[in-house]
Amino acid sequence: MINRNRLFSGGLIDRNILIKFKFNGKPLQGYQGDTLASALLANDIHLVGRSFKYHRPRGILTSGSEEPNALVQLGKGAETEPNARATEIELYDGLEASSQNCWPSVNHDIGALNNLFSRILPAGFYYKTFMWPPSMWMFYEYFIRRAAGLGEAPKEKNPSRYEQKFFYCDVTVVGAGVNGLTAALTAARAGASVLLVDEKPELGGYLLNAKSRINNLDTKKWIKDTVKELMALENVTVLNRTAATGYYDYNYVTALQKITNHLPNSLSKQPRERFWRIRSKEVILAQGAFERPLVFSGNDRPGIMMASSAQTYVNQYGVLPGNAVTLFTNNDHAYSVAVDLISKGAKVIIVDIRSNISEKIRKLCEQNKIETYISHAVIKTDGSKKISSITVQELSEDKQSFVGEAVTIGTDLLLMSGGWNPAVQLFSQSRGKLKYDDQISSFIPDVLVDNQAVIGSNNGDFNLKQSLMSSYEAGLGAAHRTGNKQEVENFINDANEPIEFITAEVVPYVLGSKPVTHGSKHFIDFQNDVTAADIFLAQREGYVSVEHTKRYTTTGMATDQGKTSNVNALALMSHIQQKPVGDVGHTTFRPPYVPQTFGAIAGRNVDQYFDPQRLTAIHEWHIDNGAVFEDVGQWKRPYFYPKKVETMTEAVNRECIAARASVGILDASTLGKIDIQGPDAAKFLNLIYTNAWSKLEIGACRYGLMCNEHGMVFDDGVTTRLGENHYHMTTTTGGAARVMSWLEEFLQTEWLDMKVYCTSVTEQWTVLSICGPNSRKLLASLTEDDISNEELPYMRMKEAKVCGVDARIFRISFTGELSFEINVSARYGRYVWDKVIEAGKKFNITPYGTETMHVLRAEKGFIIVGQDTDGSATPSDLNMDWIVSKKKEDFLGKRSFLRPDTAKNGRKQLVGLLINDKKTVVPEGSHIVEEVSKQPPMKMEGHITSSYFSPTLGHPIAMAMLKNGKARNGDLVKIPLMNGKVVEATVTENVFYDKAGARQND
Amino acid sequence: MTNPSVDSPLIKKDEFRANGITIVSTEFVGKLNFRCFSENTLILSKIKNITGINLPLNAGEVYGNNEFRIQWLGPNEWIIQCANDEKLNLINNIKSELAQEHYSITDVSDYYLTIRMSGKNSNEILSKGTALDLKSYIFNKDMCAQTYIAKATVLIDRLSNEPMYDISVRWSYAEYLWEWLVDAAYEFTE
Amino acid sequence: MFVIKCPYCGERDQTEFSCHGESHIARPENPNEVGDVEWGKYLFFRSNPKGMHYERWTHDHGCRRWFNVQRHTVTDKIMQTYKMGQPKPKGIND
Repeated sequence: MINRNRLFSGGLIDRNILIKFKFNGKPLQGYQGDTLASALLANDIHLVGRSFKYHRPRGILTSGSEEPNALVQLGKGAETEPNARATEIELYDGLEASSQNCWPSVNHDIGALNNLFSRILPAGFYYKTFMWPPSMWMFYEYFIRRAAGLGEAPKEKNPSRYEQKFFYCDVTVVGAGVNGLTAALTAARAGASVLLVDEKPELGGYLLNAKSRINNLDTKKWIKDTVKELMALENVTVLNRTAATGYYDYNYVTALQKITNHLPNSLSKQPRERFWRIRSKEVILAQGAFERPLVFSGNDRPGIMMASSAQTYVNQYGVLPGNAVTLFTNNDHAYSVAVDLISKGAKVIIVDIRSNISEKIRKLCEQNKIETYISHAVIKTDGSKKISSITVQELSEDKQSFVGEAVTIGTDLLLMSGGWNPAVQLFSQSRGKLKYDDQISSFIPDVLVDNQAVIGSNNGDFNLKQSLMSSYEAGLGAAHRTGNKQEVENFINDANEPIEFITAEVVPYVLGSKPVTHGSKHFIDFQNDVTAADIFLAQREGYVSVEHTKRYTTTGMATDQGKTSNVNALALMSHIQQKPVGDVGHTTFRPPYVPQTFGAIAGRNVDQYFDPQRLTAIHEWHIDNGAVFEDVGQWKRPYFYPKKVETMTEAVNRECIAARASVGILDASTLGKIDIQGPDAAKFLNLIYTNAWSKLEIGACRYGLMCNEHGMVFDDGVTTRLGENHYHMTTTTGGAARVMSWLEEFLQTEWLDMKVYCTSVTEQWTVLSICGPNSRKLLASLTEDDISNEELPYMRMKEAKVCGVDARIFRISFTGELSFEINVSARYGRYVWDKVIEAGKKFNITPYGTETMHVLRAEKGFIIVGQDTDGSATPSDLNMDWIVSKKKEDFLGKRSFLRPDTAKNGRKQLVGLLINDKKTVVPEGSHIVEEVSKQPPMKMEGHITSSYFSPTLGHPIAMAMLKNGKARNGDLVKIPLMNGKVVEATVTENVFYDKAGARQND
Repeated sequence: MTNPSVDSPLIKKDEFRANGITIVSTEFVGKLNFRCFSENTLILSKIKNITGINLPLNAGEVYGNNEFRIQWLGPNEWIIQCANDEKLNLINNIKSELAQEHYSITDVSDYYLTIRMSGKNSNEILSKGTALDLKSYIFNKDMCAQTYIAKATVLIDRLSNEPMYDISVRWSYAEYLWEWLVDAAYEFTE
Repeated sequence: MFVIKCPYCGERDQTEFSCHGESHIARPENPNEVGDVEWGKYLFFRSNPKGMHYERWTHDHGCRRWFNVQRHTVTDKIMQTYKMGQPKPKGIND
């Protein structure tokens, strides 16, 4: 036998397949079917890691996802995973794992000095010690983070793929123990679509390891048959290695499926994990229960384990973790573990804290020659890296003192069995209400949410036959409620367990050789190193509410979320506060139920899929011509087109000058476009825009400003009348969706009778905006239609053929130049663009990006909604009273102009600024202050909204929102910069260039 | 002048094939957004006269014949598909027939691009990106649903009982969605 | 995460929808004739009940229709959805 602690037969491992792995660099061997924990135990390795705070040696406590101690760093490099639970890691060839939170090694850990000083590291130590002075926190934090810790996150990008999946079904069953299997099979036979998930590789749950019988079959056989039938059914999806992690409203369950984690260096194209988003009409929880540790002095050494877990290691993995075994218990059920271990050759002593045991148990002990210490307690444990002995002493009748002498017993495996806690975490997440059950001394489901059932030990139901009957009922009920009415015969005839779990009193703590609050370590939360003394301290210091105790001591806040510790902590609080556990209450359970990788949560929403990039029909041309892109919403827009060695400033200056001197071209396809039709369209526009639309002629364009009901500007654009009842609206690029929603909101919720339909046509049209004095000549060379100033004057639209393609040509201008916006169907966009560029060569046509567009419009004083406005500016604040109709009875925002706050003096108003030194381009967002002082705070009276160097004018220009700005033409204002320099500027009107508009009207 | 050439992000895409998945782009067809009050029986009957098919009035219905295919988008909104060169005729027909009625017709032939996905694993790909319950909505041919796939709003139209879908997406998202679908099929590649 | 029954499309995942606050707040017929206090109520004041709440949702990734939802703010249970223009229903626990 290759492993010291391996049994010669038995278990679900395959002894024919040898698996090589490394732990802390040491080559070891296990078998197919092992977990890392079972393989380590088989190799007699109990010391797995060091604890979080005191760096105490720790071993393997459990055999499942509740494991608080045996956390390891799994794998290396980019795929390394910290805090992986050794009890859940399936062994594969080449697996490498190492201990965490120890240096230089798990055997010789310098941090263990913390344990010696633990008297000065009580709960709240960090809060109390490192609070003052506040400025020192950054300094403390560095050392605290280094000292306290779990595993290390990978530093490289994760190369694995993580997928997500939405899934719908009638019934989801969480947990494939015998109860989950029964419910799933019943529901499936009734015709329901069923999803069955279980976090383990092997379905069957705890009774895979017990000597129970169902329908006169060995449980293992019954499980095998049932799983086989389920797998064969088309309406059933079975997911093993899949932990339900969250349970939200409306039966929304999330689950993490591990797909390739257990495969060596997988070359599979399967994702590493798949995150399931499950919506099912009914949910049945069958997650079982966790065995509860006992709280006694020194209960955390390697070699101390939950009794049921030892049973799992023996029966499922063929590993006997120790030979001289002591079992410390307060209930009958643990005696079955003793029997199992004895049958594999172990010597077992039982220390039972109860004063009496039943005749049945006494007989069992006699038959199996088990030595018992009744009404005794383990008061002390010894052993440095692993347990070597325990000390037991008899308790008085009231358990408050000792009688008799302490006895020391050599032990290499100490098992704890303190009763069972139903795994109510998911149930509680779903907003199910819990109650404390005195018989099992734990919380059980009380008030269920809609369309839900909880079965088996998950529901506190530990009688095998009864719970299987209930599971059948639950499966049938769920199927019926989802409309699957086929009758299903009850297939559970009989079931029994050798020794049933009936009751266990919760033990707040076990008396030790030293007082619990001084010098002894009764651990409650193993992962966060919280002891009974810490709970006492929290109560003494007034942190008596359960939420306060939790946060002050950190009990239940580790990655295991207190699966082994919560009830014990509550029981101790109940003991100290002298009130029932149920009245102490419990903290809120939150997702995820088990730790979940970020990779799975992110899924494929990474890299290029993190946020979609919206592309225009011209996008490839922009790339080919060296555009630097700017993100505008999700759109990729050319920002500028640098030539080989140009800086951004040089490129923008060149583009600006070219547009004003000859002809520039801009891809304006991203502008929002909305087709508006209906007999009430003009009436509708009158209500939406601040200005009047009734008299707009067919073929004419008009600029409009939209306000929200608060009277604040929220979008602008040009709308054109295409026909009698037909309009084409444009919006800002970023505001397109918002405007569409705004129009629909009023049509659908306020003005239901209005005969108007709005349809987004943003992407229907590719928009080529050409501007500059030569733009008409250029366009004329591409169309046979008349585009003269008489035929197509400023603010008119004409349908024409451009390059042989049907086009709408809008004579509108955002640059102040003679300008044509050519709209063609997107499919022809690239074709026409290429033709325009080709024909434009003789005019030195220059493509320009959004930055040049911004400069050109700023020279003209045109605002950009969202840059010069921030949702708190009225049209009047923007010096745009000219566009607010005085005649219209009503439009959105109008009434609010009269609100006292909107109409008051002292509002910020839009102004132009000329920077006095003619050199400095003030950063946008800079503040204008009333008085400059040496350092902030200074009283602010405005801020810069737009600021550029104007190549046309040869000096910087800026726009600002300035208090009472409209009345301050000619004022000198001061703008302190981050570098300490103060810039002076003169207030001016915000149109800097071609104030008469001769160029655009030409 | 040469004949204008058409272009789109999908035109250059090669057919993508993996195990149980085929993804191809489709030719341009006429797509007209049509809106009217669904209880206006006059409009309903005129549309029937013009296209030979009724406007579907129930959620997610698609009606089609050899010339036209009408997809339900909402209680007063449809897409009428037709051959590319029939589009103008259809618009003119509708306009002249419905002159006095309140309706709207808007050319959205380029607003949407359409990706066709077929194969037995199609639903596996869809369920990675859409929260739509595929078993309740687009489980048979001539059913459509608007929803989202990953981060793009889409119209999914089921063309046959064997999984075959036309997925229409706004032009600007087409590149993103194509790449997303192909990437989602990675686990089905050889 | 809710399942919301769009009155037009049927039951869909919440991620297809967006919420737009309290419903049944009519825009005053004649804003000009409304005093500042009343206008302020229309603009700014919303009920914040522990219990039944009536709110507006849109089916953004669907039929784009606006509709009303009656939801219990404690249990998050959606009692019903109904079309715009329909009167505010009486809730049992209103």
